Amino acid sequence: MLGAAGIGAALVLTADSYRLVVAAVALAAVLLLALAVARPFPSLIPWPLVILAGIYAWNLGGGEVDQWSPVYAGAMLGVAELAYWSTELRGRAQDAERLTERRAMLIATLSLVAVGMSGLVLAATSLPIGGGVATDLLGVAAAVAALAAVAALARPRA
Amino acid sequence: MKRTASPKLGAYAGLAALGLLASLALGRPELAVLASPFALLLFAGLAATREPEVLVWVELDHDRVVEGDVVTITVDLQARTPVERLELHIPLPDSFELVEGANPLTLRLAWDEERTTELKARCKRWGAYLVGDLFLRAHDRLELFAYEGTLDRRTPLKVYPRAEELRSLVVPMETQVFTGNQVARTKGEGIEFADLRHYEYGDALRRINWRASARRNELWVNDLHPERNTDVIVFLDTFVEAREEKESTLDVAVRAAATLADRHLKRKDRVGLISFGGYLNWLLPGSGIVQLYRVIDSLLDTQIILSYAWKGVDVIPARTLPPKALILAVSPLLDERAVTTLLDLRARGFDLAVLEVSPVAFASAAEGEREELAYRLWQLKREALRARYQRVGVPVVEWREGAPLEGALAEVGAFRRQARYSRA
Repeated sequence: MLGAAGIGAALVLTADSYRLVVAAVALAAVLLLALAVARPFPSLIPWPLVILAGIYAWNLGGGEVDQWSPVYAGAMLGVAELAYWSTELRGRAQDAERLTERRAMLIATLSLVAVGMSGLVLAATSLPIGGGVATDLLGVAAAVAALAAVAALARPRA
Repeated sequence: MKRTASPKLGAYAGLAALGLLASLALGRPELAVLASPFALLLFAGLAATREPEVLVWVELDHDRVVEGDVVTITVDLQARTPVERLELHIPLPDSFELVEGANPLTLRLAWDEERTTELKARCKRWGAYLVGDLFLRAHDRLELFAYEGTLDRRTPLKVYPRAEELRSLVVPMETQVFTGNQVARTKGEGIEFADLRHYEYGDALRRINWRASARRNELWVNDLHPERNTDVIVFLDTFVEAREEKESTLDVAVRAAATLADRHLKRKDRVGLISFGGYLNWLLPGSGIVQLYRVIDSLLDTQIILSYAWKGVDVIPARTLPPKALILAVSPLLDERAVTTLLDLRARGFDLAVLEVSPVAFASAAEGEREELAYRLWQLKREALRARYQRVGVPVVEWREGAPLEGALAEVGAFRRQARYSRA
């Protein structure tokens, strides 16, 4: 919750215009996340992140490449992991192996690794590989192939 | 084990796809950067996931315990693959109370790790149980998948009814011909003095009462009461029960029946059982420790089977009711069929005593004028029923859980003495 509020606050502070609207939408995202965690509704958790990402995209406008995007990426992953963890905590069996500490460490590590990996991705986007419809199509195909791979890996096994 | 995806898997895939496509559509690499951690975590998790292999054994420290005893359930685990989070749940019967250990339990197992966990549970109600069904749920390191399965490691556990304190038993009207611990009303070879009579040809010299003979100048001999056994039939009414939360009249009745069977068998009596209810279950009279186990095993299977069919004394096999048998009925006296059958048994000349397991304690307090009136009428009806039994010479004694059973049985003796005095 605090992570989502922090992202929202950062987006409000970095917004060039319509700060009030941005703040209202960010607040709505935080409240939605609170609802998703409190009820709990795990299927609702991605939507506050989509809203926050939408605000971020709107803030970007047509300006320069944002160098802070890896930090946002790491923070969003951290928020998502913490939100799913909090929904799992309900009715969970008693911990006996310091699993809570291990999970907290894992989430912190994942967020830090995400920042680093996103930085690499951001650096890769600055490589001059040209542009055009063919590159866009290749990108779409790569995205679809990635989703297909995920779906294939995730299909239920007997 | 069945693999199920966590809600996170679909959400991360959706977020990654949305971010990548939005990045392409808007021409902003930052959105691809936002999506990349979700996509990378997804790929890493999917590539690394593997079905956990865990071997499980379940063992109980006893296969027979008495109500109130604690049984230890030992679970041995051996992991062939590492398991980040393993949730283990052993569903215990409702009447078991966990006194030590956690259930469900979460564990982390490393490669080839062997682990033993113990659960201690108190068995609060008699019965025959199967303990050891296991529910396992293993999670991968990134919590993208859960592997769930059920393992059947059930082990039989018999929980015997707790015996009530009992030193004296109901004295039967008549005894059988075999040797036992009950002083018969008849005269014969025995220890207990019965009467004096004239010496007759063939009487043993050791039976001559020399004091009486010297006083009367003729030979008198002692008559003795022989020690005989009794045929006792425990008649358990299983038509209906009164229940409140986890305790019922049947629970109490089975405890009383088991205690009576145990004490009579220890007194060398032959004990049989008739479980008279939705279905009829019986055991022919027998004696010894084997018969005790037979009776108790039969009692453990006792349950209330709802039936609307009329049943009377005619459905009871004749061999289960030997002549001169003492019938100890344990009943809440709630069902007309059981009530009528007991009266029929008395009409056929059986020596009958009714231990009424009172359902009054299980009835919630009356609230309101009508309820109070109904409650009073119900109690009056029960009084009338008891009087109906007493009119035909059947003692009906009320027994409630917590009160000494011996006190209730003493009332049977008192009633019989009183009844005999009244007839005299």
